[in-house]
Amino acid sequence: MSVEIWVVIIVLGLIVLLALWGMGIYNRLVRSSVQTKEAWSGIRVQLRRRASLIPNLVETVKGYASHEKGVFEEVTRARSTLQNASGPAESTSANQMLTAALGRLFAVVENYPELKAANNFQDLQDELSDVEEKIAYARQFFNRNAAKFNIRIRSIPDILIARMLGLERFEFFEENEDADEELQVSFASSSGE
Amino acid sequence: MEQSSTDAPILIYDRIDSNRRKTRWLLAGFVLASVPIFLFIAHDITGIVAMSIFMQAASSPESAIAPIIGISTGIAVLLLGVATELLYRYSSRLVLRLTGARPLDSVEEPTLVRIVENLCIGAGLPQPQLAIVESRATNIYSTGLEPDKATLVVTSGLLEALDRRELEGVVAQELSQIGNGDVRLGTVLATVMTIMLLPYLIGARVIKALFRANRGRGIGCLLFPLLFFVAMIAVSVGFGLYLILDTSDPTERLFLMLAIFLPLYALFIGPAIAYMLRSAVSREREFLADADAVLLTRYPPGLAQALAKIAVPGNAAIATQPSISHLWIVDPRKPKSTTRTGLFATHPPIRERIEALSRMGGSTPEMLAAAEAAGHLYRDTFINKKSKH
Repeated sequence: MSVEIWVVIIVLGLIVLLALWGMGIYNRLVRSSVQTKEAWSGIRVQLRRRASLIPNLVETVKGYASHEKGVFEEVTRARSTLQNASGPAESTSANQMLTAALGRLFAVVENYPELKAANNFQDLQDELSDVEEKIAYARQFFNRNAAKFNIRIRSIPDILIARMLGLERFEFFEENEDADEELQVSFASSSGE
Repeated sequence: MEQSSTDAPILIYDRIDSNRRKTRWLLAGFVLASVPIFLFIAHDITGIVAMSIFMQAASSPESAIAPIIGISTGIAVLLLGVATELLYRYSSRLVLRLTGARPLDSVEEPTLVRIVENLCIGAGLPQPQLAIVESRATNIYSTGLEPDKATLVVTSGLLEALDRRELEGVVAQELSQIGNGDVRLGTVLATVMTIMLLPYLIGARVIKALFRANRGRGIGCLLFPLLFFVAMIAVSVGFGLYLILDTSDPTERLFLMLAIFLPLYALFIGPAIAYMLRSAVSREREFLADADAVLLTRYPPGLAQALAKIAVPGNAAIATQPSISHLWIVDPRKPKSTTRTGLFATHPPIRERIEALSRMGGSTPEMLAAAEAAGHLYRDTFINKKSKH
């Protein structure tokens, strides 16, 4: 066979390889993106669970301390803000607000020992702390996947395909708002081990 | 341990792929290594039958040998195929049956249920079935070919001995192994090893029975069955070699060589290969799984203290088939068993695992010493049942 035909074959072969390689990267990015989104909805499930506990909690506390209106309003407002928040960044600050409000609520409870001892209150408290633990784990899982995706779309060679597709990095769902720094620090220290 | 996975937080998917590949290679290796054993079984079962049929039908005995070998091999291949399929499908159930595990109701052990639930959220894994083995031993294992078909099995002793954070540590370790494919590999290993050890185990049982029959009559009598056994092997090998050298017919030679080699392989070589292949696979994984568990719980002392408690000699020992000892988090075989060390070890030494975990931060020597003391206390209270003086 003549040289020209060989060259054509080789070039075609290279093009095919390139296409396959690109497909592989694309698929990987899609998978990572979808997994991260799934992880995010995992968080939302737990947040919703907590949100459904809160009205009950507020009512129970109201039963013993009806005049502490400010705290109840704060909690209820924070709860609806969180429910309307979209995306990790908004949810981070809304979650922070709610956590703070709940903290105030429990501080109020301290002044009412009968309330503290009440069975239904203790049950609610248990459930709430379980949900908080679930939120923490869901957050951990989501952030890990988000970090993985973010690293991927900034690394060569995936960055080429990612740019083409206009993929954007995920924001993290932090425990508190200064946590972007925190995240860098924690990655740095764990890679030093 | 320098190669801790905490410096590459999300390599679990890479490890899953590498485990998948290793599973395939390992399976291939085991299938190859177990072919002679199947041949041996098929040979014995069918050889005699076929021999009598063919020898009557054939005009000369020599020409019957080739078809006999053919039939035995065919049956062996069939057996192999059927056994592989059955065992692959029922391997989990086999393991659970071998350990006497009973499914856990969700109302029993709510703490454990909650721990598993929450850790699964953190790991992004579907929740495994839970089962319990009623035993004072402190140990845990998982089985299952896929994360969504997995079962996590604890001993009742473990639930007794560990506190909440320690329990979280070991559950996280098991979940890591489920998630990254270790458990699938281990389950496949368990069932293949069960096949490969069958002739050896049966033989060992025969010898033990002989020993037991002669116990109490002095060492001389123990020696006799052993010598007899060795003599039998030597005689058959010798006789077989003589027959081989005596004949010039290649098919007859082949037949005789198979007749000698296969039992030797099935009883000695095959099991040794099985043990070694298994160890080659098992050890490194435990370190990696420990590291992944810590990634999940963010609390290295939990697992470290749990291991310190379980590591007290005698705590983790539970009567179990040798083919599944690698599945447990800590080697369940009695401390003096020779197959625990060196080439045949399925787990890295616990000291090393605890050390690696301490290096990840959070544990102090005092905490570990306290955990070890608690482990001793557990053993003395529940296992050895020493009376207080």
